[in-house]
Amino acid sequence: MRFRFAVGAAVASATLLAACGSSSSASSTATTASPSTTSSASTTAGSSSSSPPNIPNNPFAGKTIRLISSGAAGSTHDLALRAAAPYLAKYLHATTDVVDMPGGGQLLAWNYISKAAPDGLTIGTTDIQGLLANRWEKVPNETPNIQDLSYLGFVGGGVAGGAKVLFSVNTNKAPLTNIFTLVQDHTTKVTYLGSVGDVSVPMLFKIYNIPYTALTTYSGSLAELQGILRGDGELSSKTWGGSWASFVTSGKGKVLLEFSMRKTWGIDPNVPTLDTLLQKNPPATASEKAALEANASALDAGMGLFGPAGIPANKLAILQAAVKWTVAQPGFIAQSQKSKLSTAYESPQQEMAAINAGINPTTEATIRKFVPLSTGVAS
Amino acid sequence: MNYFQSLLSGVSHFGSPTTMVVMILGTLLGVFVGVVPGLGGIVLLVVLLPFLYNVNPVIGLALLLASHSAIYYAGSTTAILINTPGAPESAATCFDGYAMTQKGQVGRALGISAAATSYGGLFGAVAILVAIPVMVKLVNIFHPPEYFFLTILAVVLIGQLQSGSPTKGILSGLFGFLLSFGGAAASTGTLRYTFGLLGLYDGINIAAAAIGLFAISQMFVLFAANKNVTGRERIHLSRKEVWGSVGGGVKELFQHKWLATKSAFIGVMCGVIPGIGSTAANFLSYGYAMRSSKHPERYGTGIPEGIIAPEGSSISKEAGSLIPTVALGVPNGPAMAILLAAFSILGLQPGPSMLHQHLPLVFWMVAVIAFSSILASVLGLGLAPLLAQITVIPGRVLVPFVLVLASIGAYASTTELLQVVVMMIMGAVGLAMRRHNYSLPAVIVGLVLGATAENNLILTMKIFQWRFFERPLSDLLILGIIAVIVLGIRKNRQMRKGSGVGADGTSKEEVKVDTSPLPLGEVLFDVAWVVGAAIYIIIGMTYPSPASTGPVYLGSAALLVGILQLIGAFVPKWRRVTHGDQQVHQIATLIGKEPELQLSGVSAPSPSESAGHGGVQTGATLVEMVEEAEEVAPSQNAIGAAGSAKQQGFAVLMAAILIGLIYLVGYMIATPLWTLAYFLFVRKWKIHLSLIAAAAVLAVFYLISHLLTGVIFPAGML
Repeated sequence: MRFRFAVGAAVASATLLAACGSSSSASSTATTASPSTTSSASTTAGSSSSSPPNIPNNPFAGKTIRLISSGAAGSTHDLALRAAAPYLAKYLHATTDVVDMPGGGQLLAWNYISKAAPDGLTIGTTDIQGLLANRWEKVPNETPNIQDLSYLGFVGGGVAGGAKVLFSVNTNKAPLTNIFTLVQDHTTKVTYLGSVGDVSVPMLFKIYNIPYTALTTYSGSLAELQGILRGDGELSSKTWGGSWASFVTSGKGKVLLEFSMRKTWGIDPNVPTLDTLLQKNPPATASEKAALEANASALDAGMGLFGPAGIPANKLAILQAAVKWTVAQPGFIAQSQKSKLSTAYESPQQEMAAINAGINPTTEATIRKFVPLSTGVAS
Repeated sequence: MNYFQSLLSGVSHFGSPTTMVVMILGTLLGVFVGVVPGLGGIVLLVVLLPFLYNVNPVIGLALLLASHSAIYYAGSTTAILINTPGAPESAATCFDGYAMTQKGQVGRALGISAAATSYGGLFGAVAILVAIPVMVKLVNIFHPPEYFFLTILAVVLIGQLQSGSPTKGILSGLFGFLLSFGGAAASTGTLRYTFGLLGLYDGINIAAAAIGLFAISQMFVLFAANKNVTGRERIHLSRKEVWGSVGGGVKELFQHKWLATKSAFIGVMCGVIPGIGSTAANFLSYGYAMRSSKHPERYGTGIPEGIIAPEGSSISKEAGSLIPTVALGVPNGPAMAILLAAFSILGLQPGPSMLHQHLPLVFWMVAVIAFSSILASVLGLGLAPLLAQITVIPGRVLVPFVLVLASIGAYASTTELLQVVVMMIMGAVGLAMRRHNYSLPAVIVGLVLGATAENNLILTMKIFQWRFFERPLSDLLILGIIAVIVLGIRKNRQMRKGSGVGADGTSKEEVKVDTSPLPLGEVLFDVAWVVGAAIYIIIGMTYPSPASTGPVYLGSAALLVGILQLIGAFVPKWRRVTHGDQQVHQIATLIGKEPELQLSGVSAPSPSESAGHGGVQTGATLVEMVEEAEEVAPSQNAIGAAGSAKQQGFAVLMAAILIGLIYLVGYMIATPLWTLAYFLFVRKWKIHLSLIAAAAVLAVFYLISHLLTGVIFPAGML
């Protein structure tokens, strides 16, 4: 039995650390935005947002919606929800409570949400790749029937478990400075410092026959960076930002690949995406290509809001519209940027597409072959 | 960010009103809790741990370190006022502090204590500022093998410091390691020792475990206490008297500035060098002052030097302890072990990342210690008359409040009722470990450092294999571990002789091999170690490599030491190493003091001496109500307060009932209901007083649940 440390957890802790300098507490807030009530949070929301459209027969008016964060206070999930809460409240004319429910590698929150009443009053964050990875790895107590959950869309785009980049140290070895050389070389053995459960890179290496050793026992992103810097290995994959971005901009490291089907991070335009790599150097089989694509699409979907299966269509449509409107608000974007979160909107349809691609039987079977590689057991 | 930018960034947090409020709050908590007999600073620190999940590191560290620093001043206050050190570290202050009180110079004594404590805090802060650049260079030379051996050294060191015997110290640390391997393995994601329970996927929560081991087990001891721990009369102090002496205290500090500086230096060095306890630092400082004095015979009669020496070293020792804790993750005492746990909760990793990525936070910690030592002195002096009243509140009255607060905190930090159960189980385990003289801080250090130890062991095996022997620093650390164990064995023998008490009652000169049979409970405990370790290894072997590495390797170490321990139960010659001196340690544990205090051959003067010297009683309604309800008898023997094993077992049962009630009817009903029952049926309070206590608990729950609005407290199955 293996258990996936959701990549989001690492990102969450990195965000928490990044927020160290802030003196503001990440305590919970309850935001009320009914027309007759004025609160500081709703005032803030109103000052930098457009007016939401009127909702006829609004089923959420005056209700309290619980926004469940699968991360701890100060984590990416928590910060994103707090940024969104006042705008969701304003759109829905409801009260929003952010509730942190960390634990069990996010399963505690995900299972709580998936078992909640389908009234739209209990929704929360997930990361699409995390949901899929638990399924691929057959984690005990995994969230069941993920294809039936109610997806609402959200910030997506490389947030919390989202798209990553492949870093290498800045050496003179050609395969370590260019991904195309690396995938064609087959002779340079590399040591990869990775996160448990992150099947992306080991799968890429195996499919392209890159000889490698995986070290997956570092306690967090900073420890991996320290390991890279003192020479434990040459490669690692992380989300772009913070210390890892400094690693590159200070000339100590290099980005080999954006592990994404699209340009996500605004890094050097010459850095190829996975999509580019797959086009220029397609893998040996179509199923391997599909597996890499499915995993990368799930990473691209990043953090989504979701509710239990069976939310009535009218309520689901309103919630989805509220999320879309929220992500477009300048105040939300500003607050997210302050919290160092990216805010690219991901639609529910894109999230569902990523889920469906991930549970495609052929793709799933292919990915499962590579799952043991993600745990450092095989090398 | 360079050194000075980091320094400025760290200190800039003083500009935030929130942090200032938190520091003042933390200091007040420390001052008040520090004077309540039976609670102590560690209980406060661990109860605060769950609340760190909801705050950023700046706030969290301010709260923790401010309350920790304040404990020392509060401990000195009780030493001066009632001849009972609030913390073992303040024991040396009793000699001259209380002597001054007897001479009617209580204000002067408090003033000198305040000035010396503040000076020590400032000196310690400067010492860290000087040490940080060296630390930054030092940590960069560490690689995985060094980190692995460093974690082993940390648990061995703290185990030797805080336990009844070398093997018990090592077993305690290994127990912490084994606990830490529960949950998803960092190396493979394999779920280990979760028994299919989702609530254990993240392993045992550090806050829940720390609360259980320290606070809950301490509450069990207090719960079972029949008599007041320190029984004494109340002391009347006027504000005018206290404040009028502050100037004099500062003046006297300046008159003895070199002594204060030397004492603070001794404190810092004792903090930096692993293996020297806080109490030892104070006595070393006191002893040095006495030896270097032209009039050593005047020590103990109430002279300023006798207060300046121990007080000057108390907080500076803690500041010094920050150096190995922050730079290497090696704590030098229980408080630093808890701080290490707090780092883990706040997402901070001691070592290079702390010194490179979070240097401003390190400076912030230094600033908090320095500032709060002064703040505690100022607040403590201002509140001295009130503190004098609080010292008579029996700690056991606060038992339900601490239990309820702890259960709320444990739940809030994990949102898992299972972790509250874990907390209570750890409380029972902690109680058993206390009774058998194992080291609780070593368990926590093992729990916190377990993942680091395992990860670096795996990395060492993958990257270096056996070539780690070629690394001089690794070899040095291995030698250090061996030296600590050998010294621990020697120290144990010397203590046994020094104590002058053999288990059979022989005198110092006549100490012989203890051939008397060990108590059955002790033997059963040893058997439990061996059986438990064996089962642990068998389960561990079912996990794929490298997820099995930690459980099998360190489990085997635990099994080996456990077998040695068991042999010691039957082979009297081994018993010095495995079981130490039973009598001395059991007495020390029973009276709720750290063993090292008792074993150092110095104890505070008898509490009974303090009775009758308290001065005039005044009326404080709450205190009178408590006294009336509890029928406090003055001058009770401290040992009599510990209660029997049966009573402590009953305490565990009561705690289990609380958890059961929470499961059934939820926090809102269970906590006041249980409190009502506790006071009404166990403490035999009158109904109206019991109702007031229950209402107070409900108010505490209401307040906390509203502070933690992001937590959904379960409503219960019914």
